[in-house]
Amino acid sequence: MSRFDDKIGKNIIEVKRLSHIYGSTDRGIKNISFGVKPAEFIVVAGQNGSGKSTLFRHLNGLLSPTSGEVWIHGRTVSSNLEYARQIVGMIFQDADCQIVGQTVFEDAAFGPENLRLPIGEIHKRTNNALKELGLLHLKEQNPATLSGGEKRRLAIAGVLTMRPEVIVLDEPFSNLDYAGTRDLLSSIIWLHKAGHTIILSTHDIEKVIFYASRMIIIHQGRIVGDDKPEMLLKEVENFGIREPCSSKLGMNIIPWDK
Amino acid sequence: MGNLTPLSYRYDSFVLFQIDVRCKIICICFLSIVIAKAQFLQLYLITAIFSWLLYRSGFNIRRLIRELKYFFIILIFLFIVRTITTSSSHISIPIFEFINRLKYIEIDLVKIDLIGILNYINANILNHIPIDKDGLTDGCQVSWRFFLIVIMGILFSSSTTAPAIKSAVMWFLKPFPFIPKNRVAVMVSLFVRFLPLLLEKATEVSDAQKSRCFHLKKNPIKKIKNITVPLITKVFNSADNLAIAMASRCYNENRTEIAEHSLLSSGYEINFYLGTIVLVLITLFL
Repeated sequence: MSRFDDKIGKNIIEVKRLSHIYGSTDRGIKNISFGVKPAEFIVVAGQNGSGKSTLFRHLNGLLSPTSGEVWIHGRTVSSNLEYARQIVGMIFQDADCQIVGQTVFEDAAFGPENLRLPIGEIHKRTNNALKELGLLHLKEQNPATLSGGEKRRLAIAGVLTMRPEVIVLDEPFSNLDYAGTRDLLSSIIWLHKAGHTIILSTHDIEKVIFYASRMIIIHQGRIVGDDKPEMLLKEVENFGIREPCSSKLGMNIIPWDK
Repeated sequence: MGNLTPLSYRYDSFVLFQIDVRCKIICICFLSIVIAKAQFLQLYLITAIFSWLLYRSGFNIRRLIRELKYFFIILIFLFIVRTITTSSSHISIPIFEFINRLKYIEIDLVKIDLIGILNYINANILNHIPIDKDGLTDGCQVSWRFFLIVIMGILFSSSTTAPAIKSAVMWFLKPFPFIPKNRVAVMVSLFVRFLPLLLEKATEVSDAQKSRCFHLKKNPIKKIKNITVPLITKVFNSADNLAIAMASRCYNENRTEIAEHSLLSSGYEINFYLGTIVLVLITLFL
């Protein structure tokens, strides 16, 4: 039984009428509501600029909403920032920008250090996370010397050391080559199998749609679709998202990495 | 896979990477004084030591020199300014004669129009400014000292992580009760963390501009503007992204420091202290 099993059925995250408008423009997200249950694998699809990253940054309080609220396990994010950031681990689009340590180990240990864990526990968690993601042999290296795929895995390791329930990945496959994408995809699948709830944004759904249990489509800052992926696949091209090849050919969805 | 700038931290098993950061900082303080006072003998000696440290730290010296090419332009400028502004009544060489000598010696390397321009400036503006032996010596020493300070900075920055520096700064500030140790240490470590990033972004901007034949532009002000504006934008964006990434991982000042281990003695500190003392003595008494 996973450590999250006792919470199955209840929503981990509740987003209620969330809006965020940038300045006097029309850009941002408008009146977004949805809930996230444990062990879900949610693909948030939408064009560039549709509001995916803005939505994600509200899930652990990196942005303050213009109106509405995000709740995590019944607590508002705005008044429980540390709790929210511990429960919801965020992996950003640009792997380089989230590297804060000068060695792989230091970077992965950054989160637990901030949580004021004992040194022994920090070492244990960091070594475990690096081992699980195949980075332990690089622990003394400068992260700048890693490949794109290794940097993404380091970002995941940095989040895993904080033991989050939900892992949010913002356009994780951007700028990755085929090998790096496959590598990262298998890490994401492994995380999901380990019991983590995955929320992943992409405009190229083909890579992950096979593994997703739910798809949310965002268009111009609003949710225009929220259902099982197979129910929405035929509509995605109306919102600037490419329909997976197998769906176009009338076949069942097949895994991209097989 | 990214390239490391000369200031980026790199892991190596060499002793310089293993010693207590406090020892490094103390040695740097004394070496800075030594370098500021050093004459040619001491400069040769320190250059030899730093070259060995660079080599053992895994630096490719040729590549390092290539990466520091813009810094050498500053050094040449510094040399010229010091040479011209330092004068005495010893062997005086009028600048006209100096440029003529330069023309004959470097005729294959210096473009003809450059010599023409120099001659024009010399004949009309600088004809009365003397260049003498003291000026040349002083210019040479000052630019050499400046060069050694930068090499020392590279050795320190490349062998020490920012959290280790933070721990050392906090240790040094412990006796002072009213200084916010944590905040000062974070500021120092972030500054050190940002130096390589600045160089990295400058290289990116420069490469992007070169690929659009930027080097063919003659106007130096436009050149500076074209480099500076995107560089500043990039650096501010990076700083912003870094701050967001740190916030998303619960960054705060009151945190556990795993870098404390960098304050443990490796046993080799005594060698570094002794070496520094010897250099101080040589500078004081020779």
